[in-house]
Amino acid sequence: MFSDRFSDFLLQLLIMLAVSLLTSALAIGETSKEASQVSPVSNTDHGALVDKLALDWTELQLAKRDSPYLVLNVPRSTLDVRLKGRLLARFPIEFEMSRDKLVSKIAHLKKSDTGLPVEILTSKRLYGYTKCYSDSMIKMISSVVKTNPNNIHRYKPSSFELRFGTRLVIYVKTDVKPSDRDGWKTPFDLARGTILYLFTKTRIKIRANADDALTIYRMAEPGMPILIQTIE
Amino acid sequence: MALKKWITVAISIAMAALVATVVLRENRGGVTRKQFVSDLQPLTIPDNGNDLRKQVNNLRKQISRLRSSKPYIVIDTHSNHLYLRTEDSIIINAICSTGSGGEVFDPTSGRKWRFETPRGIHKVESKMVDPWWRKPDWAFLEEDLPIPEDPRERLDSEMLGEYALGFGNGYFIHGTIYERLLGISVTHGCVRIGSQDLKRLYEKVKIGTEIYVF
Repeated sequence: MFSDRFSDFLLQLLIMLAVSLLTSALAIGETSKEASQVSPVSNTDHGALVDKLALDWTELQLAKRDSPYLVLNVPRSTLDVRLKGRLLARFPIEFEMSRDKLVSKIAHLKKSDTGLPVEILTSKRLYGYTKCYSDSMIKMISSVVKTNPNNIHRYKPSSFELRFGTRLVIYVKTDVKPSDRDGWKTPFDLARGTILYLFTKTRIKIRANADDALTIYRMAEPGMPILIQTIE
Repeated sequence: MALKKWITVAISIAMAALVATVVLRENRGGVTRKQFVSDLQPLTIPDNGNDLRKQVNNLRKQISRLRSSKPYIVIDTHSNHLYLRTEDSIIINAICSTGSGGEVFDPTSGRKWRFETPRGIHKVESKMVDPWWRKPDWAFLEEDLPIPEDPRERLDSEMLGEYALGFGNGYFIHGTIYERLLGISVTHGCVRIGSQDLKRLYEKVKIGTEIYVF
């Protein structure tokens, strides 16, 4: 009888021991998992995490505003328009330079400043374009809807540039053959263009569909921010 | 010789002034990047790898919350297109007509109307079948017609098509009897789309759906 009781006691003790061992093993596993999270990150990882942090933090700041912002998404090769974080338009683009060269140019741009991947549009310039509608059609429509013909006037751009101070220029080209050119109007324009060309830190050339380029050109207004995304 | 030297100096100064003016003007026009960045909340980067990871994950979650999976309407006034879309897909892609930007002025009362589609974020507030248009005063002024006193003379049963989605302040997404003008900015601020697209949009959109106009 005693031996039975003793054996029961021993069994209970063994079960308790097994449970406590299992619990501690699980706890150790959890601790080691946590420990692996606490382990120091390498310099490369740290750099990548800082880039991610800066990118997401900047986008959240832009999403707080009530006006749209552009996103130059290098990995996806798109130029996006977003408002409050929502995607309004996505334009596929082609970069006219290798991905490595592009990323190094953008990295150089970031290094020289706060490290935030954002630039502010300061001006835009249309170089060549072709009219979408004939003058006679515009005249007819404007008389019917009693609107200034200039409001209806549309064109498809063949090339234009979006200038972000002297830090960045995005030169957009389409397949449209220009029928009109917005030439240099005055010698000062010419001098200005040459000086800005010489003093611009980074130039990015992209190719876009003509309809998309029309929207990009029309919607891009000075003061509009662009987020430059080089990582997913 | 001295004159030549002075001329060279003067030209150099003028060139430097021109360069400085152009560069400063380009960098200081409107909102500058420096000003923009300084207006943002300061970003603090944690030294500890674990804290850094946690902060990155936290921001990623906030970003993914912004990318809603619910469909929303986008109106591109620049290319005159209306989309019903989500982050990843376009459900409806319709050619539309948006505000002309024109103006009508009433010399007797001094009232002025500007026909722009309002940019920004709106919501679908109402859905109507066979809507009737109650012509506002500007519709008569535009036609050089007297403003009627009888409200029944303002009603038009054809103009808005078969459906209308109201998005506030008298603005609607509706049909048109002028489908040939779709794609051109000719409206008084409302958004016109073709009858087929309008039917699909009416069926798919619920009251409260967000509308983004840019």
